[in-house]
Formats: sequence, structure tokens, C-alpha cells
Amino acid sequence: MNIETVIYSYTTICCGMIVFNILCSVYHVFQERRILRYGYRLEVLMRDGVRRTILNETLEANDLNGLGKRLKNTDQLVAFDRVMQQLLEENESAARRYLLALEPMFEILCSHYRTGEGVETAYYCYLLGRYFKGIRKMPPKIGDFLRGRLYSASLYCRQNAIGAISAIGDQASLLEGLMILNRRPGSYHDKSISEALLPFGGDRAALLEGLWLHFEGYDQPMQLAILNYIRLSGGGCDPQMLGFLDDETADTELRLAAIRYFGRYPNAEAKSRLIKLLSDFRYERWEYAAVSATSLAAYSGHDVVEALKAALYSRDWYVRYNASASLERMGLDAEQLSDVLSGSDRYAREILQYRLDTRRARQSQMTEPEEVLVYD
Amino acid sequence: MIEAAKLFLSAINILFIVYLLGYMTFLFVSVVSGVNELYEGRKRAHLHNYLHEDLYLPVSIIIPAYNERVVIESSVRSLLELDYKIYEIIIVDDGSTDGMADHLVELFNMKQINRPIRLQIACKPIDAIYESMSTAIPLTLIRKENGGKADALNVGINAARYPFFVSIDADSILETEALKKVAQSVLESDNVIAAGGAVRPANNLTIHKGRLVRPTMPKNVLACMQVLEFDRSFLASRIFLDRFNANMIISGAFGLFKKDVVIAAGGFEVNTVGEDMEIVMKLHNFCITQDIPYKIKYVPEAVCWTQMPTTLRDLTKQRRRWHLGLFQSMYKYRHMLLRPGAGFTSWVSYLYYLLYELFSPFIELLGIAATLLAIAVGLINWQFMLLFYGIYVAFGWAMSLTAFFSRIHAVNLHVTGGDVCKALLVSLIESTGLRFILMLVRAMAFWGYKKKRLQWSKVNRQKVNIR
Repeated sequence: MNIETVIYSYTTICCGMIVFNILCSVYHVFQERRILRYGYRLEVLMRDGVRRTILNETLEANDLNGLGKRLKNTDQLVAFDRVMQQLLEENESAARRYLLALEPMFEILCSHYRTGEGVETAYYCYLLGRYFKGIRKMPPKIGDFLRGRLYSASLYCRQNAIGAISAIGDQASLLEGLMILNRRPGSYHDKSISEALLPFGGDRAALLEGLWLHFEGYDQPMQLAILNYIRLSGGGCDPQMLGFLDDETADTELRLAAIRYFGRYPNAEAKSRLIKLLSDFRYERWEYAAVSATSLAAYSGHDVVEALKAALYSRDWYVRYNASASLERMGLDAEQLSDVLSGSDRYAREILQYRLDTRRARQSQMTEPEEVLVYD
Repeated sequence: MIEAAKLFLSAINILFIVYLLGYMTFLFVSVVSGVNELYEGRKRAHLHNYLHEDLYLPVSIIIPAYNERVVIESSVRSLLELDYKIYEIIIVDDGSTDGMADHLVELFNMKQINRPIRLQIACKPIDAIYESMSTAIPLTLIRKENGGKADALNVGINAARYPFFVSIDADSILETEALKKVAQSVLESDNVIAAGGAVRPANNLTIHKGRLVRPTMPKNVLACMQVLEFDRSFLASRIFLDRFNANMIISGAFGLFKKDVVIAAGGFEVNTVGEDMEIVMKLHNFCITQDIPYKIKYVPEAVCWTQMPTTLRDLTKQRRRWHLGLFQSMYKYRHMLLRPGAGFTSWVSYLYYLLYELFSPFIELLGIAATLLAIAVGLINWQFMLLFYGIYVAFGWAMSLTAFFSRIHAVNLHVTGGDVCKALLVSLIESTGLRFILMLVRAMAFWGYKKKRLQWSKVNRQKVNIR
């Protein structure tokens, strides 16, 4: 093969790609119109379904089959979702009952999307989570399908599947799902698990009970995700969190999560422990001290103030920085902090002065509002 | 003599055929790969294949600026409108002489404050720090002695509160969702230490509520050519190299970095004009040497708009600086070439930048010299030469247009028929004219290198319209 042939071939393929791109652009223009057209047709069918559901009439098997066949097409599924969104906004309870009546159809569709492309499967998982949110009892075939997607190579598929399981609100399924993910190291980010847990549509107390029951069986990233979920979703686990504060052998990140928890949910028993952690000036303990300094802003008392003031002299910059922020948040004035401000430690003085100046500047600007965010 | 010339020209022929074939193959494979990735990206976004919107990382946005009074307001105002939950903006004024800092202080009602800063990376002294308490997003201005862009970035890193920072140019405008999109790459993998967004050229911009109003092809021909060039370059190499974690550059206009890794690696190098490439090569080198698992990502969905030079004079200045920066970085990390255990970065990416970026102007000049020699000794095959040149131009043209159209359909950009005609025409001019001018500029980049190596480049800025 000579050089010209190779270059001709490449150029031909490039021209093919240009044509492909132009066709794609045209396709996308028509795709939107097609989705709108599908939406008009589906709306008639779906509104009729909602009406029947309100009247306690059963849906025709033919209608269900017909709808199921249509929704195997992704554009039809997008159109269905848009109409459903509208119906949910108009009359949520009726639309939800209609969706429950469509459950057998969605179960059949699971077998179609099980074999589909990752992107489309992930979308279907996302829709299942939205449509069956809060039903609390996982439909068996949908449960099998969603749990199966947790093994997917696609991150989005896994994320949408665990999100759907959580939204449906069946704690047994969710615990099983978490265990599946836990068995696949590196398949998730602790933040993404916390976020997936937040919209849990079931009994939170029962979920917490299950999570603590299985807690030791999870790896550290999953444990961290669970602790952060508890902190972000309303607390209620003080005894367990106190256990982490006391357990010197526990993982550092888990202990730090517990310290943050008590910054959000003040607890009398935690206060003395946090002060102790803050007052530990050993270099290797700086993370505990720094996070405790922040959490202690939620507490009051002479002992807290004194501990935070002492922390201003810490060798660690972050401990000093967080302690000064907490003292400022607690609303102490220059007089109450005069011992530090007139002290000989320049670093402690400067960091505290910065906080007080910041507060003063903020207060002075509150009286003269500045509309910097407005575009005119 | 003639025999020697014949022998020389035969060797040059073989060299060029191998060189061009290698280049075209790389370009071809990477464009096909890039087109596929963009197409998949669009499909993912359409079908809700992205991480939950409430996921976020606290991010510090650092804007190093020198004499950017004309554009700084629009840049800051657009950043204040980003669709992101928790971030701060730090502007580092590197000793501007155009009154930029005073302008900002007045605009955003900033107050001077004695904020202690932990100097984890050495930098020039800080003169003053101002903060605005009235903006919803924390806004800090740091005035410092002039020390160059890298030094200004290092000051910003020292002042940054959050574990990740974004560096952006003062003349750049981020799309409202750009920060969210680039930060998602970190949530997709714990090992991501840096991520770059797509940089798109745009002049004569109008911004409404942080969003660009109908960005189209610029009126200026040079800017148009750069639109095509950027599309080709981002599509051709960055998306492809990203698949192998082998990107060696994150544009200075928009990049996200993990702060502690950058600090551990020593921060931005002040003795280079190409700090954006240097930092990425430094991070590669640092992580490989320290055996740290890492990823450096390219996120084409995260878009940053930046102003392009509109005069040949400004353009040549910019390209000269880029080529010098490329040389400095590649020379400094020369041990990364064909380094055992360094994978694709060392064996393909470094080699590509060396042969097809750093050496390319010299190789092209050699080609011109050889052609002149062939004409002089009467050994030129005009028919073959013209055919070869024609095919080369057609190939470049096809590549530019492929990248242009891919970007349009994949990122859902709106273009008019006029824009398409302009692209068709300008891509032809670019591959036949501008390319050769820039080749000469790059070949002569080292003239006056010592004298101007640490200066900020002075490019005429256009004011951005804010509605």
C-alpha cells in the first residue's frame, strides 16, 4: 500500500465523519420534534389511564402491552417521562396510583433494559426511582433488576440503581444493595453513597437499625458514607457516635465524622470529649483538634471558650484558624478576648484580630447593602 | 554533488513519509475517538447519566491577573453567578499598574483586612488583602509584588480555604455549570488530582445572568481560525489522551487541581512561561515517582470561554510564549521520555508532544529547505509534490471540519448557516496560510527568550457586555 492510498483512505473517512456529524445534528433537531410528537400521543393514553385509575377501573391489558412496547424505545420513554412529570404536577396522588397500576408493565420492561446499552439502562433505573419513590415495598422483578445493575461497569448505572433502591424505600433491598457495592472496592465514592441514601423513601429508623446491624461488615468508605448520611439526615445516633469518640482504635476518618456529627447535634456528653480532643496538642492528633475546634462552636460555656482560646496557641495552623472561627461564631467581643489580643503570641493575636475585623466589616456592610449580584 | 543531494533528498523523503504518516494516524485515531466520546457524552446528558446534582466539593477559584481592568469585572460577575453550592473567589493582583485593584475594591465594596495566610509555597510578598462581605460568595482580592502568573497562582493557593482549587484566566468566562461538571470528575474517582475543561475561543461576548448569549463564530477572521484550531486540538488530542490518563496539559484558562498534591509537588514553577503545562507534567512526574495512584482528567462538557488575540501581532506573541513554555516543560521533564513504568504518558504522549509539537516547526522548515534544494538541483517531481500537498491540505481541512461539526452536535451549540460557511472557508485559509505563519513564529520562539521569559504577555482585551 503506498502513502497516497493511506492518506486518501483517512481523508475519505474524515469526510464520512463530517457527513455523520451533519446527519447527527439534523437527527437531533428531528429527535426533539419526534419526542414532542410521541408526547402528544402518549398524553392521550396516559390521561385516560389516570382517569380510569381515579374511577378504580382496571387498565386494559392491550393498552398496557401497547404502552410497554412503545417504551422500549428510548425516545418514547423520554416523552413518557415528560408527560408523567406534568401529570405528577397536576395531581400527584392520582398519577402515583396510575404508576402503581403500571407496575407490571415496568417489570416486563426491566427485561428489555437489562440487555440494553449502559446509558439507556441507567436512565431506566433513574426513572424507576422517581416513579416508585416511597412505595416502601420493592416489587420483586424491579428489585432483581436494580440490584443486578449494581454490578454494571457503568458508574452512572450503579449510581442511578442505588439511588432508585433508596428512593423506593425498602430498607432490606437497600441494605442488600449497599452490601453488593461494598463487595466491589473502588466502585463508589463515599459522598455519592451518602447522597444516594439521603432521599430514602422508607422508614428511616428501621434503616438506621439495619445500617448499624451490618456496620461492621462494611468497608471503611461505606462506613464513612453511612456516618455522613446520618449526620446530614437528622442525626439520632448519639450513643453510637460517642462510641467513636471514645474508641482510640477506630479509623481516623470515622472518628472525624463523629466529631463533625456533634458539631451539628450538640450533646452534653460529647462536649467534654471534644474539649479533650482539642486540647491534645500532639502533632499526630492535629486533625482531631482542628475538627473539634470547629464543632465546639455549637457549644457554650467558660470551659469551651478557654479551650478554644488555648487552641489559638497551637503549633498547627488549621487548629488556630478553626478555633478563631469558632470564637467569632460564638459572638465573643474584643473585651472577652482581650487576654489573647494583648498577649505576646503574634500568630494567635493576628488570627483572632482577622476574625473580629471580618465580623466588623460584615456588620458595617449590612447597614449599607451592595447590590453586586444584580445584572442591569 | 548531485549524487549526494539525491541521497540526502531520498533520506528526507523517507523521513517525511514516516513523520506525516505517524502524525496523520495519531490525528485520525484521536479524532475518531474524540467524536465517539462527545457523542456518548451528549447521550449521557440527555438520558440523565450523571451524578446527583447535590454532590459538591468546596472549591477555591483563583484568578491571577495583571493589568486586566477592562475584563475583570465581567469575569468576577460571571463567577458570582455559577451554579455551584460552595466556592470562593480569590483574585490575585500581580502588581497591576492600570488601577485594577482599586477598581475591584470600589465595585465590590471591599474592605482591607489583616488575614493571616499560611505560606505553604514560597511566593513574592503580599501587600494587602481585601474581602467583600456583601457578596453571597466569599470574594478576596490579594495585592502583591509583581512576580509573574505562576507566582500569583502560588499566592492564591496559599490563601485558598478549600481542598480543591480552580485556576482561571482573568479574561475567561465559565459557563454557569462548568464548575459543577469539572468537579464531578473528582466524585467519579477518588484518584483524580486535576481536571481540565474545554476552552472555547469567543470574542465580542454578551453575558446575561452568567450565561453567554448565543455564542457564534467571531467576526474577526483570526479569531475564527482559532475557533477551528481549538476545536481540532481539544478533540484530537485531549479527549484521546484522556482515555489513557496521558494528558500533558491543562489549559491555564480553566483547570481544577487538588490543593495538597500541588503543594506537595512544589506548586507552580515561576521560572517558566508555560506554567499550565509545567504543572501537569510536574504532577505526572510527582505521582509516578512517589507511586501515587492518580488521574488527570479532561472534561469536555465543562466549558470556559476565553478571549482570543484578534491581531496577528498578539497571536504571534501568544504562540511564541506557548512554544517557549512547551520547550521549557519538556526539557525540564526530559527524563519522562520513554521511561519504563510511566506508561502511555511517557511512551506516546511525551513522544507526540516532542515530535509533533516541539520539533514540528523545525521539521517543516527542513521540508521547505529540502524542497528548495530539490528545485535547485532539478530533482523536483512537481506533480507528486502538488498532489502530496493537496492531500495534506484536504486532510487537515477535513479534520478541522470534523472537529467543528462534532463540537456543534455534541455540545448542542447553535450555529447559523453563515457560521457554517465561515467555518468552511476559514478552515481552508487556516490550513493553507495561518498554519505556515505560526510555524515560522514557533520556529523563531527562542529569539529574545532570556529577556522576556517571565513577563506577562500583553494582549489587547475587549470588554465583555453584561446584561
